[in-house]
Amino acid sequence: MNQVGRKNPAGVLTGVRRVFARRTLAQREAIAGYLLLLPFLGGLAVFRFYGFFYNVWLSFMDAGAFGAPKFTGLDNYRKLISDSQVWLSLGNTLKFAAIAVPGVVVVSLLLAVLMQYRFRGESVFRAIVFLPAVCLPTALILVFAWMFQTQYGVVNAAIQAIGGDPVSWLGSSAGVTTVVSLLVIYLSFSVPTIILYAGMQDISPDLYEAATLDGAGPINRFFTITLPLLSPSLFFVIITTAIGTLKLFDVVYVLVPPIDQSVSLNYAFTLVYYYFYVGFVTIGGRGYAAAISLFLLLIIMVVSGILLRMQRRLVHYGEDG
Amino acid sequence: MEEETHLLNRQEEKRIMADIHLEHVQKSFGAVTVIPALDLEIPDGSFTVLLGPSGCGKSTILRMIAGLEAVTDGEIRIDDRVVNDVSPAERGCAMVFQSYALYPHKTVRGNLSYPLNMAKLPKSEIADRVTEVAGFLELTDLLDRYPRQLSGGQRQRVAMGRAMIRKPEVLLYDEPLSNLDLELRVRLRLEIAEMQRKLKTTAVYVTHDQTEAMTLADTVVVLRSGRIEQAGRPHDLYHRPANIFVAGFIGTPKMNFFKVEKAESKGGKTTLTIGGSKIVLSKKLERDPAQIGVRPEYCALGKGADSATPHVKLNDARLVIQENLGDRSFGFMSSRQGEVTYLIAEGAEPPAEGDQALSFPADRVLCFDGDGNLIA
Repeated sequence: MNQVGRKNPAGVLTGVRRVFARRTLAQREAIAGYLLLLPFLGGLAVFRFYGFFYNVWLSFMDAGAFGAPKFTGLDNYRKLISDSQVWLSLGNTLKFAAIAVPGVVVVSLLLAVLMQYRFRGESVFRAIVFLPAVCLPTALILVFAWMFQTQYGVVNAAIQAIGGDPVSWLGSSAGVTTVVSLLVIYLSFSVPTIILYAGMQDISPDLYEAATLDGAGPINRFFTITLPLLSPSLFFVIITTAIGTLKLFDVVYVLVPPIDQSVSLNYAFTLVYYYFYVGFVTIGGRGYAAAISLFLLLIIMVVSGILLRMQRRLVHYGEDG
Repeated sequence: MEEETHLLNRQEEKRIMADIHLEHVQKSFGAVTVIPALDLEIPDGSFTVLLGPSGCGKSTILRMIAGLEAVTDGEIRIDDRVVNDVSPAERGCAMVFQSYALYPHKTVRGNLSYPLNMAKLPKSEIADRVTEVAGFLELTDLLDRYPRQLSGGQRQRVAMGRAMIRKPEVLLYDEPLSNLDLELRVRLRLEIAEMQRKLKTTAVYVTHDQTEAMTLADTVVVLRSGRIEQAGRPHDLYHRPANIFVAGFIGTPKMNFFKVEKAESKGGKTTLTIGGSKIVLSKKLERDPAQIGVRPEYCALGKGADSATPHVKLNDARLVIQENLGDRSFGFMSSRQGEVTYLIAEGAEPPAEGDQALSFPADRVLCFDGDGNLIA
């Protein structure tokens, strides 16, 4: 009874009250705030911070599948710098991002503009726009893989129907780049479309009317009013899509699986794919894989840094900002 | 000052006739008809104020002139050109919005030059005109600021500058002062009046504020439910309102109205019976009045100086509230004859509850017929 008594929640509450009682209002609110944050911070600590620091630790180790990791200093990083596969993967990653990010921005902008209009079947249209976001990515990637299949794919069938030669889509660098970029654009435009659409709703109709009276046609209104006032949303879309694409894995992995020896993995290796290949397909490369993942972190930070710098010049934040 | 005249001269050079005609203009939103059929002529160079309670269609009329709203039926002509199907940009109208509608991502300079950029004017001319207009509106020091860095009054001046920089044939104002505090409103009202006097551009101004309407307008158009109740000079609207609606809408405090129980005309005189009192007017009326109206500032408590002064008995009168306006005070009184407002004589004690009399000069009495139209 005594033990239960000590643990009783009312007792705990009294303790909490005592802690609170002697504080100022601001202090009490701060304590309450941190208490509310605790579950989230706890999750973050276990699943993110621990993972991150373990990864950093691992990157200085020679860690195979079995046995304890051995400290090897900067060996993994030295290997990384001289590994041509790393630079090839980085090149592929940047190439995919350079095509897919503008692609996503243009497609989602177009769709967001279309969504401004009322027309027959607009709800069907909206459903189609949001479909890729609710479908299983792997399923969509497989559909694309079949569509672009060299012998039986519908794309090559269409090309042949209009008199062209079939293309070996997954057998060339250009082919893989095309299919991967299309897939990334298709898989990622839904949420940006919604964000840009919402951003457009925030622009006061008065501004469009003023611009109309000032002699601006639809195109001029789009470029002089919509685009600059949408820049905060656009920037958000660009930076999230860029980071997403730099971490690209599922598309290339499903499209060009590591066991398929008929096509070259070199066309499909992104930094994450190569990291996965080194760490989980081949044996004994866990420490080296950790170093690759930190290299990717560096790349993401550099790209984000460049984008953030551009933001200062190009983005206009709200009327009272 | 030199810059100013320069601007005005150029404005003069370019000025073309820009009178506006609305003929049988109708506007419906779906099944709801906002403007049944409107005929209105706005002469070139005049300042016309559309005045009315909210929802009377005044902004819709303005937006139809601007081309922001399509006309359901009828015809709008600007300078004898039918503009029903002319795009807003080509109508030669500029507009000042209630919300200012300044481009938040552009500086004052960028806002002012925007219409000129759209018109693809040469860079040097754009710079010249921005300098001129900024000088005219005292915005020179603010040219590189963003709208968010400006006060409400400054923003509204930029909006006016952006409207006038194109030298439009017609300037449209959509409640431009409604978002400002009273002091600024009074100042900008004077500025608009001054600007209008110099530019002589045809202007249409929408407001629900009768002080703005009375002080700015050459012609005030009073609207109700999309119909014109009266259009005329501010003075006429106040002293010769066409009907009871205008009489009640214009003027604060509101005009006093009394029901006429009996009217007798005899030998150039008319005797009206109101609430048991007899009022003699020294004129013959074409029709029998159903109501009379007298503005509060002509009403005083008491039976008046002599027996010729008309007065109305107020039974069970009680002073509800006294409103001190500084230079004068009004008393709001309830009685069996209805609520009346009167000018409190200087130094007068609050009246006791009970029977009172309200007197007013006979020549200030307005008579309305059964349909509410002014007879005399």
